Amino acid sequence: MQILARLFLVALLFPLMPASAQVGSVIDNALGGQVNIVLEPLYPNPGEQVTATIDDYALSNTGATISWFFDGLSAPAIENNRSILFTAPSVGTALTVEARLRFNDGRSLVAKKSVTPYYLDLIIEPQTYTPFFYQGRALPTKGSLVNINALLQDKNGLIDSSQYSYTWTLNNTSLYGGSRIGGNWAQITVPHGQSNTITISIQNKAGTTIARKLVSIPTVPMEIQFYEVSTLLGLSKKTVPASLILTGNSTSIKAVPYYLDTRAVQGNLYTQWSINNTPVQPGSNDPFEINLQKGTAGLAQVSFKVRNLNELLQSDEAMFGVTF
Amino acid sequence: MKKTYLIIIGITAVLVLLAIWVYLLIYGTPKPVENFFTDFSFTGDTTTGNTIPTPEVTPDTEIALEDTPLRQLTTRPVVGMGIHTENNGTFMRYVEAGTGHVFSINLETGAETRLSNITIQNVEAATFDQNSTNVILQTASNVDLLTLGGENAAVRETLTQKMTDVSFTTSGQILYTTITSNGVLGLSLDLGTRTTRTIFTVPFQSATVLLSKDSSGPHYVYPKVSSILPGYLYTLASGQIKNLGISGTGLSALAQGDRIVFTRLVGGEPLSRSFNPKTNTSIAIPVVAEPKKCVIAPLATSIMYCGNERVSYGNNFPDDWYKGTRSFSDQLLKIDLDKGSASTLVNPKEILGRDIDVTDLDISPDGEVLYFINKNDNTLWMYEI
Repeated sequence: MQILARLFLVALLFPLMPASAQVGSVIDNALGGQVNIVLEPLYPNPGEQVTATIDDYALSNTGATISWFFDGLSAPAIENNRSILFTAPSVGTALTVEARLRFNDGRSLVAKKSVTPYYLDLIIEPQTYTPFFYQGRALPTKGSLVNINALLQDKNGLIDSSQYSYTWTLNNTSLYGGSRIGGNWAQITVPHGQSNTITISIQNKAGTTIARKLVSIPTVPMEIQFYEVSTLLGLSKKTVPASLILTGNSTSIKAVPYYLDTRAVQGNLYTQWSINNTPVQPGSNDPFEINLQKGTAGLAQVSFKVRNLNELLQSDEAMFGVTF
Repeated sequence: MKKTYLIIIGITAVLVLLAIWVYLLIYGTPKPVENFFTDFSFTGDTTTGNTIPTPEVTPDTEIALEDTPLRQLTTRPVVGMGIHTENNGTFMRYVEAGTGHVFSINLETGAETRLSNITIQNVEAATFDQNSTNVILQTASNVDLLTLGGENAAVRETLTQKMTDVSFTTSGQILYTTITSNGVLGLSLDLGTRTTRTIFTVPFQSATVLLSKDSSGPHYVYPKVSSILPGYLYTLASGQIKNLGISGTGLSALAQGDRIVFTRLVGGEPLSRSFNPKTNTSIAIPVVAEPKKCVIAPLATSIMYCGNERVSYGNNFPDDWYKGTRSFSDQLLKIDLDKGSASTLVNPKEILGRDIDVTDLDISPDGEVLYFINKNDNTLWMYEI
């Protein structure tokens, strides 16, 4: 059965166009050195397409034939290709890729590479505010905290993180002073910049890296959205339009500061409502809610400003017009 | 003065006092308007105070049900609903936003009855059980269980459990998730014995859990959807998560048993596929299957229904729709998940001239009635398939 499965895997393989113009042509064994197989990506996901390339160091202008084997089974369809494409096996399953080079002078070289794909998922959890009704994920803002959880899984599910070492870097700077056993969780403070790169590599007890992943974490600005709120009707799930027509005698408006650092929500905040650029008190214990009463007919601009006093780049001001 | 006049004056005075008492009972003690509202004049003077109106007293009414497949059932905003059939008809029960009052509409006669006049302010979500006799009401801080009886005969119980995702099983249990310091815990609460049991754990907090109506599952979980952060789809097997090999930005999913439909951003547009975990294969479907806008048929899981507008959804979807900065004018579509084809059931814009932004789409157990909330005004609608 296993042999059949391997044959099926080999049948799925197909040759890639040569990575260079010299593929399958002249091979030089003058250096007499070793041959390596280079995989791209180096740590593939299960089922991912992988490129295997014979490196150029030992090969130049001497003729040779290249035979490829997968778990010892020949793949004649891709013979003499220096670069091939194959499908990574299922999660936790090892696959040995082997290239046998037979030079014109009769000598031969063998290169092997073993691939065991794992699922390595980085769960990014920004610690910023979103309202109860918002079904999406919070997003990172400059200076806020982001929790990152690395979930490594083999064919049986999540692996025991205490059996592995985790090395985290943020923008090429090592976190936590280096690798940590069982350190599958990291917390970062979002630095300046529109995007930051987190890298994690996982080593087993023998010190061999078994998985690596790089993820870009974008940074977004905080944003204010306005919603009408009513004790009888609840909270509107649609934002207040740029120009609100006040049909009743009054309305209440809630300002929702999306992606405000959760540490600041109950903390050191500056908020300010204004009507026609004149600051007003919201008339509520909730600094994010204002009651508006219809006056004489006309137009007005209502604005709201919020600033995290611990992180001045976390601020926003938004406004809407009211016709009454 | 004649004795008759004195009696008339006395009765009048009593009636006036009675009227004042009733007025105060309903509307509360009058206060200066400045105590309620910010001065909305151009000078922008400031005031203090907030309005907390007394919940309206709504009499039982009769809904004028039109004899068309697509019908608007309420003018009230709704936060949750459930449909069930009894001997004397099919009923739609719903929870009114703001007050948390529960109503029942007889879908054949149109008669509407209020089942609960217990005011629970700021209800954000409501989940009915299969028979619509129990309903969970969630506010930002509390979870209440209402057991419904006849008219205004509901019994309220505030649950100590904090619940995020909630579902009732067919065997009368509540399945729910709660956030812990390490992630999310999935539990079942037996309504008879009031015992809880842990059924799964998720090692991250920002999770959307698709709870099965069977406590044994299959349940699914993915990190809350984001159009710019990666997501991964997992099944919850034997209490642990297991990667299904589906990932990407903007990842969301809906499921019924082993039938899974997922959506993710590809080339700046959300694309949906029907996935078979047994064969590990998927086929593209020609609609954007946002979980809040779609439901898989209970009796024929190769069929899915969706609210969908044939426009570009763009790479900010669904974040912009969740925030309410964007809305749609949806058609109701029927999708064959095996063939990857779709057909239009009804286009509300064409027949009613109204924009309906479908959310919380659900289907009756017999697969005959679709019901949903119009996100534009939170009213309740139904469509007879």
